Amino acid sequence: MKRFSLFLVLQFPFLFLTSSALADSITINSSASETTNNSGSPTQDISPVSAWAPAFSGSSWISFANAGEVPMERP
Amino acid sequence: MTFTDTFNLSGLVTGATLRVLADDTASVIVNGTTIFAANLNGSYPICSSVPIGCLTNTEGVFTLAQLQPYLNVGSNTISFTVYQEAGDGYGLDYSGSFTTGTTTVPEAGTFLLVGCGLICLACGHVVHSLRSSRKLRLG
Repeated sequence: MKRFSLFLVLQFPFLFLTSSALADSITINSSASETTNNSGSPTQDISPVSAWAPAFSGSSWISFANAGEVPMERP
Repeated sequence: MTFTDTFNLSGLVTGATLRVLADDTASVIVNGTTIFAANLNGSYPICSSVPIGCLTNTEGVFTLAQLQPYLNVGSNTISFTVYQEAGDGYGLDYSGSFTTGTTTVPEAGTFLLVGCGLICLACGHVVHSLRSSRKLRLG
């Protein structure tokens, strides 16, 4: 029993040393390279209209065209 | 018009945030389920006056509780249907972060180590027993 206890004590740290922690963290951001659209035209990074909020860190304002001032109908 | 982003999650999601801006407004669809429907009956002074709009105070913010039920382990698709209701300007901006859970998986080496230890323990026990019985016979 003493030996078994010793065995457990000696093995315990190795259980952690030889284990792998599988954690992942990913981000998604709007951009011409990452975002697709169904308009038939590629997604573009666009310069925001001055009234718009600044783009989030790491992302860009995007559209299907340089559509800053183009009137659109509801799809 | 719909914009789409596809990404992979390696495990169950334990943290998630998604922020969205759009001119005029947008719906958000996660793996085919609409988690936010654009308000198409509001006012549009510049863009939607209520979330999701194009201003900091009309930003759409989605949390883990809203996103987690619709996210998969593996491939995921988030779509944004952007609407122009008045005026001009047409754009979308989003940013999201996702964290998957920490899962501790013992490697094969761990089992090998434990197995070797048990075998050594058993061998020791056998040798000890043999020595004890030999001593008894000699004594």
